[in-house]
Amino acid sequence: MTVLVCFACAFWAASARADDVAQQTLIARAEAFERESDPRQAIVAWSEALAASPSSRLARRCETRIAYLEARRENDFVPLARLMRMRQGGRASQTRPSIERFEATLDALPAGIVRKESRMLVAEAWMSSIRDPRRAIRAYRALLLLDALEGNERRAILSGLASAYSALGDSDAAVRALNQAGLGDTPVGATIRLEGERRVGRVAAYGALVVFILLAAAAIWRARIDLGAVRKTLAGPRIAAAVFVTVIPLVLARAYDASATDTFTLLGACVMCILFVASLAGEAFDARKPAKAFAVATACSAAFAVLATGYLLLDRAGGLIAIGL
Amino acid sequence: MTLKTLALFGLLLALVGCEDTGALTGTDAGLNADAGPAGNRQISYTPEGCAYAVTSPMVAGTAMHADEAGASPAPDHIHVSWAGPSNSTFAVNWRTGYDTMLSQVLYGTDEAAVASADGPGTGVTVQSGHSMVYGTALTFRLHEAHVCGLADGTRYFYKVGGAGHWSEVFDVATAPALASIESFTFAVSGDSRNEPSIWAETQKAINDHAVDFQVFSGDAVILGALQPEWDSFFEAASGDVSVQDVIARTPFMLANGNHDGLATNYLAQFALPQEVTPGERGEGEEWYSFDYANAHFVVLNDTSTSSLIEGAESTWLRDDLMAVDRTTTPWIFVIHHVPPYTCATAHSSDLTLRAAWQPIYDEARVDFVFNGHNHNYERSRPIRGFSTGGTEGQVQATGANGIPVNNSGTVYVVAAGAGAPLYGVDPSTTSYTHIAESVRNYVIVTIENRTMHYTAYRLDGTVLDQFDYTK
Ligand SMILES: [Fe+2]
Repeated sequence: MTVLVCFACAFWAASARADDVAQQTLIARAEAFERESDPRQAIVAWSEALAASPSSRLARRCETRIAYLEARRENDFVPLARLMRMRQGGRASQTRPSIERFEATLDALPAGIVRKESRMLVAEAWMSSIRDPRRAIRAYRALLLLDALEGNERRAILSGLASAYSALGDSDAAVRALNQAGLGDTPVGATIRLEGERRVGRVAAYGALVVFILLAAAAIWRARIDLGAVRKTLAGPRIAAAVFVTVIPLVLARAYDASATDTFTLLGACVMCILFVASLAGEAFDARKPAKAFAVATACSAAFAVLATGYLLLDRAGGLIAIGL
Repeated sequence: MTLKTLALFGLLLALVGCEDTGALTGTDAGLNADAGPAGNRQISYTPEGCAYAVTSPMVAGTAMHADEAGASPAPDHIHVSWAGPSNSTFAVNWRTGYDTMLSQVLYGTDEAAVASADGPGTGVTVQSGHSMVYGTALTFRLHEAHVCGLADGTRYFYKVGGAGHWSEVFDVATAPALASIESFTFAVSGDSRNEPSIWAETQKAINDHAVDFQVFSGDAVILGALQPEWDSFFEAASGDVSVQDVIARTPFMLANGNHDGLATNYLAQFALPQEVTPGERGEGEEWYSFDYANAHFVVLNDTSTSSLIEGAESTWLRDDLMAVDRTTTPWIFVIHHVPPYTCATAHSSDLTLRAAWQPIYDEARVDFVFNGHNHNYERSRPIRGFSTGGTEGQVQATGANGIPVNNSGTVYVVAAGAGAPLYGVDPSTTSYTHIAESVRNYVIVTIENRTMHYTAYRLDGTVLDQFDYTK
C-alpha cells in the first residue's frame, strides 16, 4: 500500500514537473509574441500556459498578462498591436511623419485604455523625442478631454503640459497647469516654478552682486592706503570664526554624502568671500560712523540673502546636484 | 559683531532649508524612553522551522506575537522579501496601530482555504513573528514574520495579522530549486525618493510584467529616518494599484542608498539576509547575497566609510563571489547604489568604489552591476581590467548592441530615477558608455538557462534598450 502511494506521489510529482516544463515553453512563446507586437497570438499562448499548470509559480504571470491584454482588446487588438509596435520601436522610430501617422489613427479609436495610452505616447513623443512643445501641448490637451482619467494620469498629463509651456517660455501657463494638477509643491512643480523665479531672481541677484563688488572694490581701495586694515581683517579669531562657519558644515556634509562636498565647498567659499569683504569693509570704513556701518551691514546682508535664496531655490528644485554642483 | 551674527544667520538659513543634510546616523529610535507594551529594545530568535536567526535593529521596543488586537489592528504596508533561501522561505513585514501585538502569518497553497481560515487547520499553517516600535511619535507598530520549509517553485497564499484581524490574501511564489534552469524574471529600479506619483507609476508598470521579484538600487526615500517618507513610499498609488499591493506579492530586495542612511526605519521595515560579517552594521543587513535558480545576486552598501568599503565589505564580497559554482550558477548580478561607471552630468563615476570592487568583479567575472544615484538610464560596454597605470576601465570585446562576447566583461547599468529629479547625461565624455538617456525608466530581465532577455523601458511604455545575450 505504502509503495503504491509513494508510486502515485512520484508519478504526480513527475507529471506536475512535466506540466511546469510545458508551461515554461508556452510562456517563452507568449513573450516572443509580445516582443513581436502580436497580442492576439500572445493571449492565446498565455491562456494555454495558464491551463498547462494553473497553480504553478508562474500562474500569476499568465493571469496578469491575460488580464492586461484582455483589458486592451478594443477593435480586436488592432490598435493595441499598433501601440505595441510604436513602443517596441523605441525613440529611434519616433520621427515626425511616423508620429503624425500614428496620431491620425487615434481619433477613430473607441474609448478605452489603448486610446489613452496611445495619446500619452504621442504627447511624450512630441515633447521628448521630436521636441516640438506646441504639438505636445495639443496632444496633452487632447488627452485631458478623455474620460476615465485616473488621478495619477491627470497629474501626469498636466505636469507634461506644464513642461511643454515651460519649454515655450510661458511660465505663467506652466504654473497654472501645475496648480491645477496639485503639483505645486512637488519637485516637478519646483523645477518648473524655478524657471520663472530664476528670471526675476537673476535681476535682483545681479543687482546685489554689483553693490557688493562696488563695496569690495571701495574697501580694498581704502585698505590699500592702510595695510594695517588688511592685517586686522585677517586676525586669528576672525579666521577661526570663518573656518568654523564654513568648514564644519562641509565636514558634516561629507560624512553624509561625499558627492555633496562640492556643493558645500562652493557655499563655504562664497560665505568666506562675504565674510572677508565684510571684515575688510568694517576696518576700511570708519565703523564708528553709524551711517557707514549700516551701509556695510546692509550690503553684506544682501549678499548673504542672495546666496541663501539662490541656494534654497536650487535645493528646492533638486537643482544643486542636477547642475553638477 | 553684527556682521558675524549676520554671517552665521545667513549660513544657518541656507542649511536649514537644505533637505539634503542630516542623514548621518538616521536612527531616531530610542529617543523615547517609553517602550509601551514592548519589552526589550532588541530581539533575536530563530523562527520555527528556519535555519537562520532573526535579529531586530535596536529600537524603542520589541515583542513576540501575543493575542492582543489593540485599537487599530488592520495591517497595511504589507510586503515580502527573503531573509533565507529564496526557494524555501519568505519573510513578510507590515504595520498596525501601536498597541496591536498580533504578529502572525497564515499561509498555504490553497487560496480558498487560506481566505476562509481564522487560524491553522487543514492545508493552512500559522507562523508567529515579532514586532518593533521606533521613532518619536510611537503611533504605529512594525511586524515581521518568517516562513520556512516551503516547497520550491510553488505559489503560496498568505495573510497577516492574527485571529479575527487578518489582512486580505496575497500570493507569493518560492524560487525554483537552486541551480534550476527554469526561466525567471526580475525587475530593476532605483531612486524613488521624493515623487510618489512617479514611483507608483513605475511599480504599476512593473506589476504588469508580473515579475518573480524585484531588486532596487537604493534611495527609496529622501531621508531614511523620516517615517512619513516611508509611509508615502508604500502608499503611493496609481489608479487602483498601490506600491504595497505590488510588493506584497513580489519579494523586494533593496540596497541602502545615501538618502536611506541605513536608518532604523530601513532596517526595521525590510527583512533581509542577516549573515553578519565582522564590521558589518545593521545586524547583517548592510550587505548580503541570495540565489535565485541559476543566478547569484549580491547587494552591497556603498554609502559607508571607505575603510569598511575597502576592508570588511571587500573581503566579504570576494569570499562570497569566489564561493559561487559557475557551472551551476552561470549568472552573477551585483546591485548597489553609487555607480563606478557613469556619464551623468551630476555625480561622476565613483573611483573609490571602482578601485575597491572592480578587481573583485573582474576576478569573479560578474555579469551585470546595477546602480542608481544618477537619476537616468545608462548601460556600459563590457568592462574588465584597467588602462595601463590608470583608473579607466578597459572596454572588452563587444558584440552587437554593445553586449559582451562570451562573458568578455562586466556591464555596468544605471537604472534609476523612479521618482527623484532626472539628471543629464553626456555619453561623449566616456569611452565606455553604450547608451544613455535622461529619462524615467525600469529594467525587466528574463533569464532562460544561459540566455538573458533584457529590456529597459521608459515610463511611457516605450522600449529604451533591448538585447538578448547568451553565454
Ligand atoms: Fe543617491
